[in-house]
Amino acid sequence: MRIGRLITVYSVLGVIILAFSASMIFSFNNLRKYEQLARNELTDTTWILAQAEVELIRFLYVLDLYMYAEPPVVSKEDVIEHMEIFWSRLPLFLEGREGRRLARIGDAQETARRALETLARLEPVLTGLDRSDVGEYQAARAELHGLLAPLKRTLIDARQWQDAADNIRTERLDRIYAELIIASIGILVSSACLALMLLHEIRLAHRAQSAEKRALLQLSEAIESFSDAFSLFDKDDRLVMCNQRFREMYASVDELLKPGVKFETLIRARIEKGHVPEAVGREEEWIQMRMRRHRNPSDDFEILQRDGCWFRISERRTKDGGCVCIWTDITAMKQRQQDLAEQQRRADSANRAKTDFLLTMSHELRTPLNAIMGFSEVMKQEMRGPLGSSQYVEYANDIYQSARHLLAVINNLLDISRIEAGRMELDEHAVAIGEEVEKALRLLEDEASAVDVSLVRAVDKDLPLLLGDPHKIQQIVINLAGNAIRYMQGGGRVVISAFRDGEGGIVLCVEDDGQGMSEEDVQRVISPFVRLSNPLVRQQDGTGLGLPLVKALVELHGGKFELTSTPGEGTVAVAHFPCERVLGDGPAMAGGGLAGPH
Amino acid sequence: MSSRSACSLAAALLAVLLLGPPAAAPAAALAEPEGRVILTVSGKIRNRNGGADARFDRAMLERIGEQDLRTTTPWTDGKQTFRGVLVRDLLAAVGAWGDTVHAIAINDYSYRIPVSDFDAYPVILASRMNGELLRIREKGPLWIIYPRDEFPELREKAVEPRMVWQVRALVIE
Repeated sequence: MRIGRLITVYSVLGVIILAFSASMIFSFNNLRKYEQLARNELTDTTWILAQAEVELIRFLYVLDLYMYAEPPVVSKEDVIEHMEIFWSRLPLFLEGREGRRLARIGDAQETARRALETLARLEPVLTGLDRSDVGEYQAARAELHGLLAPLKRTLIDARQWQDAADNIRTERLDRIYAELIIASIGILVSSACLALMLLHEIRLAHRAQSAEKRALLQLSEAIESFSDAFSLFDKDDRLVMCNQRFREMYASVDELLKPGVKFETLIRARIEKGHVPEAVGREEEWIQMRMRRHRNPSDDFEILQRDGCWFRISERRTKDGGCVCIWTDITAMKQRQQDLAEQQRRADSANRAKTDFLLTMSHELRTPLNAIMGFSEVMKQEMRGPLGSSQYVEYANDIYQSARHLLAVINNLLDISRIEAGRMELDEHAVAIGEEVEKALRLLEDEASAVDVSLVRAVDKDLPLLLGDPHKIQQIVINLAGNAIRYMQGGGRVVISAFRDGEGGIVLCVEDDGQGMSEEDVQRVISPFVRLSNPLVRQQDGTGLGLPLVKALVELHGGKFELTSTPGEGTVAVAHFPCERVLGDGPAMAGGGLAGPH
Repeated sequence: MSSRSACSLAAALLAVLLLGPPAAAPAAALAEPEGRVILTVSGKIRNRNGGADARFDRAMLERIGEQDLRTTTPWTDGKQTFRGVLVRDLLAAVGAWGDTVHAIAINDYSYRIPVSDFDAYPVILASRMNGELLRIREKGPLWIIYPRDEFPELREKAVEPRMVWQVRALVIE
């Protein structure tokens, strides 16, 4: 933009100077022409006319002397010679340069022609003239004398013509001088403008240059201060610049490290000195691989040095075909990565041991528990005869209830352990959610009515079938609704709903109007083996495994579990089953689908 | 025309040719004019035929050797063929050793011409124009003609007054 404007301005100035110069040259040429013209006309024309007049007078004088001088001083040859001389002046009026000029002045040429005629007529008279021929002499002399007046007239005419021409010429000369002055001023002003602009340009260029130098200095200082090693190679792969860190890295090949050295030369020198362990034994192959990467840099890569340091090498092509190489020391990061991996390995191994232990333990615990439950049930129903005291029956009932609870805890624990160990598999069927919800709630009715909690069913009638494990879905409902009942204080209601969400999946939702939880507690209860520290609920039994198990079961179905709660208002537990698990769009028929629930 | 005068002219020319500068040439007598004298050369000359002068009639000039020169002049229309002796030959014939030739016309007009003009250019002292002898009325009998057409620099204004017509005498200064 600026360059374009500058070129325009310079071109305009150049054209102006050229135009003025051309005008000046033209004016000088005219000046020269007019001056020469003036010189020619002033001298030659008047000179010729005056000379003719003079020669005529001299001729008459010699003629008179010839006739009357006593003793005679001139011969007739002298008379003829002077006639000839006068004669020789007359053709000058008619031909040549002066002839052409005199053609324009009065009747100069006419005068000359008449004089020539007269001379031609008088020539024989004068040739034969004798001092005694007074009559002929007088006639001839009168005729010759008659030529003087027209000659004089011509001279005056020429003089006047000359003056007029002079005036015109003077005007023209004045104009030319004015033109010359204007052109000179024009050239002066344009040149001054040009010089000023050039000066300005030079200053700008100088300023830009120093700014560039400063920027370069700043850049190189910034590059020097990098903690990473930095180097820049040009499009011919020759070193342009590098920082101190880079020089330290290549200290072993220090003598090569000068601008202009080829990248490949540097790499080869380093490999030859054995700085890269992974290249040992396959140097050429490694160098080829390294050069390929250097020529087409894509992702960063890591390299282990002989001294055990790890570096991440990042190479990028610049716009002009060069290459920027940055070496970052990642030894510390590598070390941390290794430590973390080790820790993770250990933690995984411990977790596996725990899970194995829990699985084994659960089995071991369940076997005696079956005996306790079976026999306590036989006892409380007095199958084999009365126990004697009604208190025994009550005790037997307590034993049975405790054992059942313990079994539930162990089952949950077993399930979680299985899931964690990846040993839980779904027994998939086409499930009608409503039926499973109903089955689950039937098991909870007694518990709910005991604490004055009403269970509200709000399952969508048109809900399609879900591909899932019916027992697990029941388990989800029992756990969620059971939890809600257990944590209600002094009655309330629990709403169990199921409906389709906007994405085509099925949502199972359990909502209570109990005391609710803080955000912090919500996070805690979802984690395994955690129970709320709320003193109000501590009195309630529970393993703290319910919600984590629900979460795991939902996730086993490929779904998502969310728990939201507001202290004092209630808790909402939501299980999303994805649309992939929804079978068709038709309403679920009881016992329909792929298979009935077990 | 005697064989003696031819011999002395030849001797003079030979002396000029062999001995270099005219200053070093010995004086030699010129032939006496037999016809009417049309040119008198005086001043710094070595060869004379009448007291202090070298006088020439038309025949003597013709014997020096004439040549044609076709050119325009400011005072005539169109190209004319002039014929006459080369001024430099004439100067050699009289053993001239000056720097300037002062040309004097019949009407006493005169003009000083540097000798270098005659060395540099084939300037002639024309006695004929288009084959005809020049009469006084035709600016004769002798007219200094410069080869203006052949050498553009001779068209300068300053050269014009050197083309003296009606020449009757040359004074070498």
